[in-house]
Amino acid sequence: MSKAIAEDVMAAKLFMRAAFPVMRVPLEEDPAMVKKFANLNTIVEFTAEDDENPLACHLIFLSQEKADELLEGKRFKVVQSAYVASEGWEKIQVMRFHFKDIKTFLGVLKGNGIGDMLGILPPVLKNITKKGALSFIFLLLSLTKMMPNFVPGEDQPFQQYLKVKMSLYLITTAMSVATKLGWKPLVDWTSNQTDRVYQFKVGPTKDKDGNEIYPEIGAYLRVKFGKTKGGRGIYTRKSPFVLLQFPNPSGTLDVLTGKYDFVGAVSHGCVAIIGAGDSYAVTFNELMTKVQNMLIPSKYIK
Amino acid sequence: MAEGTAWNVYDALKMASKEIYGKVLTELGKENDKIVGVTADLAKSTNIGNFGEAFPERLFNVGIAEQNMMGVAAGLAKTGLIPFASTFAIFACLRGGEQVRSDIAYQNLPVKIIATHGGLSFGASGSTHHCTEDIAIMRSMANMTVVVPADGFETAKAVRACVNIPGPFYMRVGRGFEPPLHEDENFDFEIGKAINLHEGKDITVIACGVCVLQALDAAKVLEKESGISVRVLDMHTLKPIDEEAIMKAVLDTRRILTVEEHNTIGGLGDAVASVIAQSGKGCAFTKLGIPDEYSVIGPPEDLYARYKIDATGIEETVKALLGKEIEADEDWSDED
Amino acid sequence: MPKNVTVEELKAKAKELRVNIVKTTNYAKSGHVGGSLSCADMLTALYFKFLNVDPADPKKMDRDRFILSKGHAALGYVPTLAMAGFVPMDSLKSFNHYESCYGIHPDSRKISGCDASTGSLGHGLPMGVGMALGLRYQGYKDSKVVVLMGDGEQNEGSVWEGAMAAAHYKLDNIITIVDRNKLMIDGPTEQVMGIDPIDKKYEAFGFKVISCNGNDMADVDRALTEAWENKGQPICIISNTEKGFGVKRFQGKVAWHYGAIDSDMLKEAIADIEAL
Repeated sequence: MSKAIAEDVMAAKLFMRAAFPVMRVPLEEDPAMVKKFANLNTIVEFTAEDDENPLACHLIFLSQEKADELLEGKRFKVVQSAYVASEGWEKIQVMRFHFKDIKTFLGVLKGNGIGDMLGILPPVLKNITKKGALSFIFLLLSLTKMMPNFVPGEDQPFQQYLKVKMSLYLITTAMSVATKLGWKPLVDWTSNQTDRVYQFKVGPTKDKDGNEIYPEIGAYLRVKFGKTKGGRGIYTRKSPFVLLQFPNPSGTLDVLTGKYDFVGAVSHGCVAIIGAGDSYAVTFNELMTKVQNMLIPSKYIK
Repeated sequence: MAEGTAWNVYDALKMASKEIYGKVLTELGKENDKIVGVTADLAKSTNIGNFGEAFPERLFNVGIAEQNMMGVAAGLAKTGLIPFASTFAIFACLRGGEQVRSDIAYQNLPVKIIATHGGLSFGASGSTHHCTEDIAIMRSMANMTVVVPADGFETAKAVRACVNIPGPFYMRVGRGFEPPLHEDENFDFEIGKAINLHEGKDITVIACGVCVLQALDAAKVLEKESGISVRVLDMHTLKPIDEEAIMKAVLDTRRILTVEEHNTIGGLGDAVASVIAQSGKGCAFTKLGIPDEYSVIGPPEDLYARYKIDATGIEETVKALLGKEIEADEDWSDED
Repeated sequence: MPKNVTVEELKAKAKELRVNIVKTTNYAKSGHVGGSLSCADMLTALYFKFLNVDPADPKKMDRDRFILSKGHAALGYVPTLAMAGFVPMDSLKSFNHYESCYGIHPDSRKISGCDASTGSLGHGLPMGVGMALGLRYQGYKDSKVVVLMGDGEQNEGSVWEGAMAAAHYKLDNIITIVDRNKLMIDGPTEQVMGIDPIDKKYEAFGFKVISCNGNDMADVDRALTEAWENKGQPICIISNTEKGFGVKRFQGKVAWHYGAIDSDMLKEAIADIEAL
């Protein structure tokens, strides 16, 4: 066994708590995934060994029928603990993806090279006979859409839409989770803030005739004296403290992939920052970038 | 990778996208060649630089000399022109204040003063650059019209409207990073007429400038969460103040709360109080503003929170006034 | 274009103006006699020879502008306007009276021919700069803006703000005159807050500077002629005068910055002036 460094523990936890839940997006909106998972009922458990911080979580995939029966209609859920079958769940298949240490786990998710990613092989092989194992692997791989090297062009509007939605869901939840896990920069930054919402809003994707083909995307981070929440959609209770408004997914990608820095993005009209543009919006962007950098291969960090 | 973010004064201009009066003034300049501009080394910082780029021979920069600036504006007006004079609020109302009063207001000249960075919007610059006195000062100058617009769209409309006012005009705006109240320019705006943004029966919140959006947010929350019905009046014109709207609010709701980014002495609160007191009608009355002190420094949004002139502060104050509890949104679980 | 008027004619007019000044002081019960008498020659030359103004059309756009920056000399200025036909001579009797159009400082809204309301020192030159810019912008190339200032007034920072701007914008349509009578309320200027070398200061600020004896009409005429022909940069005339010039009792006296004249003193004053 080994002891992972604090940074790696944080990154691993962020993957489990912020990145894994994002699988919901392709699961529900990518027709190929919808088809693959239509009748699949399985638990996928992830565990990583460590002397001090052993990590475990499990993903629940249920068909609509089973979901209605067991989980109040919820077809996908991420639970931050090892899986123990409770009453009524005995027949549900379980895949266990076990990693000998946190480093190997992270290597699969944000490794710099093929070597790191091969860390997935042992657990995959172990579960290869399970129903839906490959489907799950494809789903897991969809998380790589959020990596900086995946840059779908305007000829791939659905991929653009998916990437932006997944990325914004990821970043808002990751920032909230990082604060809850005690990551000092965010703990300090949120500690004195009154009730504020940092809202991302991306306009719908339109075809060349101006008809909407994919809807608007919204995600937000709410902070209040140290408390945080990653939210979906547009927070309606009050006006956003900072609104980061993008015209459409294509424009958002220019910013997310770092084509422009913060100031450049605003000058080029890729994003409109409304509210606290000279203070809190800037620090929000800096912290967001730091959190993002925890979740991407180090070779992409500029 | 470098820590932090780099930007300069000129970048900042592009980032303050909602402050559009510079463009509006340029449009006006195209329509009317009597419009000229004067500034005191603040063309870039106050957006009048927009006008200056379009009409370099019509923007007169006098350097860091605000008294001269106001005197020059008066002189230009005397030759039949309509000068827009722009500098920071503190310098417009105090440094060049005597000129505003004796050269411009006393001679009733059509000088339009656009005072930027009013209130505490200068945040970290500290009290020498804050201005929590200008409404009080400008209101007390005879012949002066005083407007504090709620957002960039109202500012633009006020710029258009003020050209038709024969005498002097003072308008105080923020630093350009304030969030918009309106969605676009499609709303009615008339100098001297308050805008009823939200109907209500239990209490009326009368606000101006950045506080209007905060009041509206508070009203929506109060209605949804606690069933308190709040009327919100956007009192953009401080002089002449909309006495009718104030008295209607007194009669309809019997409780008035004023909110402003200004000293509680002499500003919106006292202007409203004066109307109410002179009417002889009784009502509950509270003022929110800067409580006659020089503020600490900090990002303006933090200062607004400190002085309770943001949505949360207004919500809390209304709750206290009405003796009701508010249910806050305390669901802190991350969504799927 | 300056009119064709002789120095002798101007001298006679100046005497007449001085008599009207002391008479008006008497009507007003009191006034700033010292500073009004010192610049009477300049006012005469300006309104009877040099300024392109028309009492029948006091607001014509192409007129020359005159700003009495030392506004307390309204006691000298309003009689000048009356003699020039802008306001009735008779109306001078109401000077300083309740609801009168004429008070200690000129009100441009109430006095025909008066281009600016002044009184607070230091305001005239900035307004003059504004007028000069506005006239140039609108194409009135021949119109001049004359700003008559006091010497104590030079203490005010806003004067120098205006001067800096006038030079920066190369406003050669501005003519500034400093009425250098060397006295202010608390004493001689050089004792209270010295302004010398005032000529070097204006030169350093980018002005062409000329001097004249402000109480010698021939010299005043010479200086104003030069000023009217000046090109390329603003010009400043240091007009060396004596406060209270014309009335022996007032001449060179700090105390007579402001005072009241009774009927005996009035007779004496008129006699002094007639004897000039």
